[in-house]
Amino acid sequence: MSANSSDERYEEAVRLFGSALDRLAAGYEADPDKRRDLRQEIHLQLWRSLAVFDGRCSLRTWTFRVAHNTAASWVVRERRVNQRFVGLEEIEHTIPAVNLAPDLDRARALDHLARLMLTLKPLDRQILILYLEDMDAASIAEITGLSAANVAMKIHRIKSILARRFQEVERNA
Amino acid sequence: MPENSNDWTAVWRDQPGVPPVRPRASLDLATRSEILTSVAASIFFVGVVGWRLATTGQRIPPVGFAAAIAWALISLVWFRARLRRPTPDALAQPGLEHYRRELTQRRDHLRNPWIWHGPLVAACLTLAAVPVMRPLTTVAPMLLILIAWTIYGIVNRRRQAAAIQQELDELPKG
Repeated sequence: MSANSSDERYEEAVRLFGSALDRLAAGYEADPDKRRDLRQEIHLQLWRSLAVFDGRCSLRTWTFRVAHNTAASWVVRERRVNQRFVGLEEIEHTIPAVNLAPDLDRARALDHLARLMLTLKPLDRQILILYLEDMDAASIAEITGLSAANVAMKIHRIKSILARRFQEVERNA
Repeated sequence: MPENSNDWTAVWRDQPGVPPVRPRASLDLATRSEILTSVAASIFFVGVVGWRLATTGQRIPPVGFAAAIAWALISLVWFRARLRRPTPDALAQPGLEHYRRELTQRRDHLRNPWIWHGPLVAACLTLAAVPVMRPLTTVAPMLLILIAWTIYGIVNRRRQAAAIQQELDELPKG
């Protein structure tokens, strides 16, 4: 693939998925300065990878695979000693009750969501982020390499966790 | 406040925008920088101290520092695969496969600190073993600190490796 063609692919990927990539970085890094570095890293790796894009999958799948894999490597690299991530299975029934006000604004709701996300294992985080990006189980399975059944089960857990957060609100209201 | 999972999707997707970024030089991997820093520090150490001891006529310094240099070269050969950047399409693998490989590499790296951390320790021990510079009693505190630091580092890395192994064991098959 020529350099121009590679650049065009990159421009297209950024035009279509750029804002999703920005949100993705927020799901992997809480610190704003480090998040900017992660975004740079994701864009660099995406641009490099598109030079060998061979159409084995869609541009969307390719873009999200590269972005999530770059971010997962980032998490492994930046992981602090004794820092432990949890799986969806672990938090489904143990997620702590939060005293959320019924009129909680979107900014605070987003903050709660981001904090929940940052505690998850990278693979579960991928699924949550892709689910929040409105992707179906088959697309998520293609990006993550998990079976569709496994993804469907995890999406079920995600819905349960998010709904439970809402129930806490109802109970506290 | 979100009332169902669709609302959470809207909350997530309605995040405020951020300024666009352009690709630029990548940050180094922790693994790569750890190996290179350790090797560079030992070479610097050997260079400076070796030069300082060149006129003492002792046998220990040349032998010890040659061993440290050889060890540094072995580290570079041993970890050469981890010093290279991933190929452009390596990151386009499915997430599970990539994450498993990443964890495996990190685990193997953490299990072998004596290989990449060894040259610096060898250089320090050589320095401590040269009696012409100072009597052993003066060197003893430094030696003890070095030993304690090495043991702590190795134990700590082994513990991290064990945590990563547990995570690898828990990864789904696919």
